Amino acid sequence: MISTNAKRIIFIGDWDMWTDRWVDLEDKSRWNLPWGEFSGWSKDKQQEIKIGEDKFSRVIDSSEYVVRCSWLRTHCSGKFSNKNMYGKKVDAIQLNGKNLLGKGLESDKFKGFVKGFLNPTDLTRTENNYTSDENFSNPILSRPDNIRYRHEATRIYSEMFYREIWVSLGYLYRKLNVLFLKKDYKKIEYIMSNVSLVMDKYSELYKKNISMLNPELFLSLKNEINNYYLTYDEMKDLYNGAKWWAHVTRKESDPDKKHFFEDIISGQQNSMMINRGLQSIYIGLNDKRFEDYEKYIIGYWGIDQTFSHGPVHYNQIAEYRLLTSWIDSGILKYLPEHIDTMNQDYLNSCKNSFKPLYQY
Amino acid sequence: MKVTDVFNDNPEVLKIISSHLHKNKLEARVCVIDSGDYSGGDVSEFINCSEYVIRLDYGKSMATQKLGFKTDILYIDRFNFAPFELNKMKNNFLNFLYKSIFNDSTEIWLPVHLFLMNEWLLGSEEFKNKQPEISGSLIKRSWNSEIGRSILNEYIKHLYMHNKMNIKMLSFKEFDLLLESVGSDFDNYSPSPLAYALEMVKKDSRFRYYEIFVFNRLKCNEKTRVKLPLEKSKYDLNLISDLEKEYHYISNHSNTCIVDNDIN
Repeated sequence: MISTNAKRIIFIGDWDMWTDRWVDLEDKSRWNLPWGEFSGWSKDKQQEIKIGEDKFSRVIDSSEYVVRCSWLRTHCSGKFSNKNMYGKKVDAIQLNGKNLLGKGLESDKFKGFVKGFLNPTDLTRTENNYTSDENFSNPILSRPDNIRYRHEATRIYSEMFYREIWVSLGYLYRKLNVLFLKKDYKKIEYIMSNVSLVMDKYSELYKKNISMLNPELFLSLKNEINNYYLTYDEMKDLYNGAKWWAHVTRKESDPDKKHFFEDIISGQQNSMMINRGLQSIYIGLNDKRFEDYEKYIIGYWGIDQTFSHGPVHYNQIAEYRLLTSWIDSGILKYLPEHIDTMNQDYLNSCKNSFKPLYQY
Repeated sequence: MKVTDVFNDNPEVLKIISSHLHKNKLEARVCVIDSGDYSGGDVSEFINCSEYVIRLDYGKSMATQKLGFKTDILYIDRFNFAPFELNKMKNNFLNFLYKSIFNDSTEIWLPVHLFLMNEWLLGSEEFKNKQPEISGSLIKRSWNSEIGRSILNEYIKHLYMHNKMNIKMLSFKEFDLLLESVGSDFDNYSPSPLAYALEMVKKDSRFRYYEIFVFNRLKCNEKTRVKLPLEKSKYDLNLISDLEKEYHYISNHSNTCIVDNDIN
């Protein structure tokens, strides 16, 4: 087969920093590095980012399948500027399953429920976006630049072409988990029938394929994460002396926070929340269409936010350790490790041509 | 106790959850819409709910309103290239259809033999006094020649600039294999769009586990001939297809269902 796109799938989060090689948290040779250097977030990376924009964009845009795992923020690389480091191609966008639950379920008021479920802006909105009512009452152009960019990104993407919606279901499973514990099976049935209704509606409205993890796969992923779970004390023993660990636990010195760390980690073991990016990767890994595709990821999934980010229900470190095992075993590839070779392949193939032609 | 045990301990409730969380909302199947003269019933719902729909007729079948409107992959023939003709279209309704089909689809499939052979031969001295015969090796020569490759690149550039779609075609080896599989006794055999598209489906690993449904099959009892005049040559390129013979080949494809009447 000859194709203008390479046979690979790329999962993109909203990070715009990277290290040249995937960082194994247990690799003691990097333990002396300050956080910025360890994680790629140091200021001296800025120049490298500028240089990297072209190569990342062209490699990503010449991939057969690009999954945007972080709502629509990835195109704008975090700061909602015109940066274009991670290309423009989008084949699947990730939809937060929170939107599927609808506002009405909290109050059981049908009116609000429908509104929450069928709001089409949910499909393409960014995390901090506004409701449609606010959009209409407050014209976008009258807002400050940083807010306007969010809307612009949303608008552009909603008009751009994407084939599929991949739904992350952490919020749904968290709610179901609570209901299971309460043995409130009627409510579970009620929620599920309405989730089904919403998905049918989305399918009907957008004629897009909708993928998600079925319960068997979701629970399997949760168990895989828990295989890499460590208690707070175990982590302290294992990572003690690493500068990155000191950074992640920097708020431990805050007397108000100190007592919460153990509880947070312990709660993560029993939480049904799974990072949306990881859910998207697992959808891709289990999609038979991509069986013999090369699979790439970019960046980190928030280990520095283990104790400081709002929703601390994700077990960031266990998820990171699971990703490390997948990269070690070759299930996944870390794009920055291969970007220079892939970029060179692209340039060689483009000689006297507009687009590379891949043969596989 | 694992956090997931609370779910697994309630298999009946888990079954309810499973029944509402389909992995895909569209069915994992491929529909190939050929360019026949459709007279069957309305199969729009079946086609629109398929994960991949490949149209070989530039969307003309959409006008019947019975063969759905979803389009993921578009087969484009070099000699009947819709985007170049968009502005010339007199019929507004067809114009609308063409535009909408290009907006919806993400991929273009090209018949490598047709445009490579023809374009290469246009600039070739070799066939001024010699009747060319299509084969995988000739396509390979064309592929590797500077002029053949640059024309191909220009063509792809044009397609890409206008549509930003992925463009795919069979390699010359795969094309050779197709000729061999069809078992044609003719020189200059040109596989029909349907045979070519089904070969592409077979080679594309995405569809390995998918069921394939063929609608609106072009039926013809006689062999189809296409005459392409070659500039600078005293010969024409006479291409021949044998739909009946191809039918025996494609009907033996595994996982392929040819729907000549209504689907049950």
